[in-house]
Amino acid sequence: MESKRSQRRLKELRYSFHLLWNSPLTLIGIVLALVVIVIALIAPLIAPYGPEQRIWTDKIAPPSMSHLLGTDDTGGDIFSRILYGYRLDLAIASSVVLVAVIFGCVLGSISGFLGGRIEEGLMRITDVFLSIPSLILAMSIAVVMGRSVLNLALAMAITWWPAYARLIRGQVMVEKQKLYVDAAKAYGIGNIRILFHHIVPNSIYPVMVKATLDLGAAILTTAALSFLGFGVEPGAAELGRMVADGRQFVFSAPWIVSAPGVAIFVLCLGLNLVGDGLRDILDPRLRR
Amino acid sequence: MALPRTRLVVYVFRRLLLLIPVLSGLLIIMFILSNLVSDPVTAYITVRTGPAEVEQIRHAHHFDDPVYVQFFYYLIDLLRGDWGLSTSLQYEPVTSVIVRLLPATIELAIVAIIVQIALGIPLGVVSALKKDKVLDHCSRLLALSGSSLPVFWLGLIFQYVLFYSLKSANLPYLPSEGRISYSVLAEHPLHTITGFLLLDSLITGNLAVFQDALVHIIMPAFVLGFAGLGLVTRITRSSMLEVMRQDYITSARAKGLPDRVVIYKHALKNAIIPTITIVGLSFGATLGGAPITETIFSWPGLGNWAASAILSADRAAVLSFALVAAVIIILVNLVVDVLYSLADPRLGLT
Repeated sequence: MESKRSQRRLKELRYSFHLLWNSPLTLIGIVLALVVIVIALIAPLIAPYGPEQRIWTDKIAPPSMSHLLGTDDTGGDIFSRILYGYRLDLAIASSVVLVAVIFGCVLGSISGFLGGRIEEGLMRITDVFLSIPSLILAMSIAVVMGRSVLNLALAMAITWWPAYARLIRGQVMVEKQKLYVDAAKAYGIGNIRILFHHIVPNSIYPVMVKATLDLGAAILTTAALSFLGFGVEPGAAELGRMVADGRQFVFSAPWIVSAPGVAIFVLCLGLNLVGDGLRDILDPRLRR
Repeated sequence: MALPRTRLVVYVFRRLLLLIPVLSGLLIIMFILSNLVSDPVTAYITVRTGPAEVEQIRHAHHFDDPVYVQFFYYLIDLLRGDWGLSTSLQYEPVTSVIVRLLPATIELAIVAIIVQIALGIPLGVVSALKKDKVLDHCSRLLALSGSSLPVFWLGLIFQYVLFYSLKSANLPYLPSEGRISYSVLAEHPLHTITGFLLLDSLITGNLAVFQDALVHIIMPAFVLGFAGLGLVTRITRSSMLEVMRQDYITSARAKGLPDRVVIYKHALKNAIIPTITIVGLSFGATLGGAPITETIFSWPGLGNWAASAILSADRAAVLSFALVAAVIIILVNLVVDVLYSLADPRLGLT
C-alpha cells in the first residue's frame, strides 16, 4: 500500500513538472527569483564596494565602467548598495512572512478544528485586524516601537498573520468533514496529531501560494514603509530608502532613483510569477 | 428567484451590528498605540503654556486618569462628534479636516478603480480566450507587473517622464502634483456641492475646472489602479475559463451564435461576479495604499494627512483616519456581498 501511494505521489509530481514546463512565465519567474536570492546571499563576494562605503570624489556620477549603475549624492556605489539592499529586504520580507505564516496557521487551524467560542473569538480578532488599513497599523506600531529594522519587521508581521489564520481556518473546516478524519478518530489517534499530521498538510497548499505571493508584497511594503521614513535610517542600503534618498534628484540624476526601483521590480515580478504559476499548478480545477 | 427582502434587511442589519465589536476592537488597539506614542495633552497646549496650566488642562480632559477611563471619555467625545484637534494641521478640528479631505481621497480611489476595471476585465477576457497563447502570457505579465512595481517608484518615474521630460521638450505634459491648478480655480471659481471636483464641475458646467481636475487625476489614479490590476485580471481570467467550459456556452455556440455574442452576452455576464468581489476588496486596498500615492503626488487627501500625522505623532488624526478607513472598507465589503447575492441568487447570504 505504501509503495502504491508513493507511486501515485511520483505521478502527481511528474504531472506538476509537466505543467510547470508548459508555463514559460513561471519558469522565468523561478529563474529571476533564484538569481536574485543567490546574488543577495553572495553579495559581499561580488559587490565592488561596501554598502556604506562612500567615494567622495565620485558624487552623482552617471553609470560608467567604474560604477556600473552610477553613484548617489553621497558617493555610494549604487550597484553595490542594491546587492546589499536585496539582502536586507529579502531578510525582512522572509522573516515577516515566516512569522505570519506560523502564527496564523497555528491559531487558524486550531480554531477551525475546535470551532465554537474559540473560533468565534479568533475570527472577531482577525476581523478587527483586517479592517484596519495595514499600512497605517504597521506605521503606528513602527512609530511606537522606535525606528529599527527589527521593529519594522515585527510591525508588519503583526498586521499580516490574520489573513493566514482565516485562510487556513477555512481549509481546515472543509478538511475536517472528510472521511479520513473520521477514520483516524476511529483509529484512536489524538486530536492534536490528527490536526497537525493529517488535516494541516492537506490544507497547506493555498497557504504556500499565498506565502509566495506575499513575499513579493512584503518586499514592496518594506520598501514603501522605508520610503515613507519608517524602519531604516536615511542613507541605509535598503531599496525603498534608496529611492527616497534619491527622490530630490529624480529630475537631475534619474539613475539614482530608477536602479533601486527596477531592482525591486525584478525581484517582486519573479516572486509573483512563481506564486501565480504555483496557484495554477495546484488549482485542481485547472488540473484537468 | 429574487431573495426575500426581509432576509436581506435582516442580513444587512446583522452585518451592521457586527460593526460595533470590530470598530471597538480597532479603537482599543489604535488608542493604546497612540497613547504610547504621544501625550494626549499636546493637542491642547502651545509652547507658551506654563507647567501648572498643563496639569490643569490634563486634569480637565481626564488625561491623568487610567487608560480605560480615558478611553471611555474618548468614546463619549467621539459619539458627541468631538474627534479632537489635528496638531499637524494647525489644530483644526479633525471632523472638519475629514469633511474637507475625504472627497479628494474617495475621488482618487474611484477613478483608480475605474482604471482597474477598464484595463483588467478586457485583459482577463483576452487571457482566457487565448489561454496559454502569446497574448495570454503578455496580459499575465502586464497584470503581474502591476503588483510587482513599487507604487512610490512608479509615481516618481511617471512624474519624470510625463511631467519633466515632456515639459522640457515643450510638449503637452501632465501636472505632477496636486488636485487642481489654483490659477484655473481663481479664473473659474467652482461652486462646491459634493467636494468631488470632477462631479461638481460637471454639474455646474464649469468645463475649465473639469478639464484641469481630470488632467491632474490621471497620473495618480493610473499609478494607484495599476497596482491592483493583477487581481482583477487574474480573477476575470479564471472565472472566464470556468464559465467557457459550461454546457450552455457549447449550446449557444451550437445554435450558431456569433462568438462575440457568446463571449460578451453569455459568458462574461456570469464570469463577472467574482470580479465584483475583488473590485470591492481592492477598494479597501486602494484606500489603505492612499498614504503612499497621495504623498508622492501631493494629493490633498486623507492618506497624505495620515502619513504625515503618524510621523508627527498627531494622535487624533491617526485614530480618526483608521476609523474612517475601516468604516468605509467594511461598508464597501457589505455592499459587495449584497451585490454578489443579488447578481447570483444561488448564493445565499450567511
